[in-house]
Amino acid sequence: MFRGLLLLLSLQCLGEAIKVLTGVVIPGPVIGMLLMLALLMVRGGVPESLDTSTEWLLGRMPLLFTPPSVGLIFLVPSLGGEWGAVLAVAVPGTLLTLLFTAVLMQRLLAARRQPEHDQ
Amino acid sequence: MSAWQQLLDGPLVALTITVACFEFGAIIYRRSGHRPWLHPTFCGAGAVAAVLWLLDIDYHDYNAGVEILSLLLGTVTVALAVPLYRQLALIRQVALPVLIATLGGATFAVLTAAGLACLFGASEQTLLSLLPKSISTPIAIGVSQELGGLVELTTGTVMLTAVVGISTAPLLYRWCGIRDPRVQGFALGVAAHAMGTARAFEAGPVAGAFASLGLCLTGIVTAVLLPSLAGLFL
Repeated sequence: MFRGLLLLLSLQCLGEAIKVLTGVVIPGPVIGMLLMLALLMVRGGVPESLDTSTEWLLGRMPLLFTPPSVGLIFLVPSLGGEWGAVLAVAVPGTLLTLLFTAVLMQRLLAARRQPEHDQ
Repeated sequence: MSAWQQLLDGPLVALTITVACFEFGAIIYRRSGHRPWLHPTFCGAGAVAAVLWLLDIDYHDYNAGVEILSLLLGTVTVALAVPLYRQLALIRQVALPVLIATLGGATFAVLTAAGLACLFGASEQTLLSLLPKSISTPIAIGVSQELGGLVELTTGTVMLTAVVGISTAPLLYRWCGIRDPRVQGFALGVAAHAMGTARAFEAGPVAGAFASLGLCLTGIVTAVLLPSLAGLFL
């Protein structure tokens, strides 16, 4: 039952190794993900053990993001006079980016007249 | 050295606090009827901060204790290939819109960050730290170092961006009539990186796969283009 996890960890290691050896700016896990995608495409299917491990891990993502969010809380006192700029970039900046990307994507999809996909 | 201090030096206490606070956050989230700003990640983080303050635990000690969780975040990134593979047929149909929207969205994120930071009088170092805010933490740290920004500030802004993104996206989509799960997921991945992707998976597999796509492509595009673009302006 640990085969899926072993595969994920091996590709994570491989991605990290490639990053160190070649010095590319892309993070190791992203390289690992691209390798995994290539592997699945060559193999033509998802092994059950990988499916089980993936589902478990993806469901735990919100827990994994808790520590960096704690870091954000402890960052506030050290911002000094720059908090206005940080808030401006993070709040309206993100809202505008979300809206811009969504509208752009919607227009591009509509232009190709793709059928609507229901959830 | 007291027994308490000995216990604190290992990762056990930090992990226990994190999981306990997260569970506490999950209960609040469920009781509130799944309000986005009460997401277990934020409620949990608030509770962790309170516990650390009450027990007088230094944040850096805590952070060292939960390093295993950030390692697992890398494993999760590798695992994102599975939903991406499952939706490959759907993604292939819209490869060109996806590429154009990535370039557009990633550039827009950097330009609005630069514009707003200048408008609010940020110092050059703060400005540089804020530019990679839309990409996932590990990539953003690399880019920030490349640019000469402050890594802590970059990490914090990346998290804040995700918090803003995932707590406002449902409302924003409702107001603007954006219903296509491909669009909803993709924009979350581009604007709010991995946390946005986690949120998109809660909405469904199609939104999740498009979010993973947005997350990866934006990360790569920004990591490759931003350092050279910044060189032109500074």
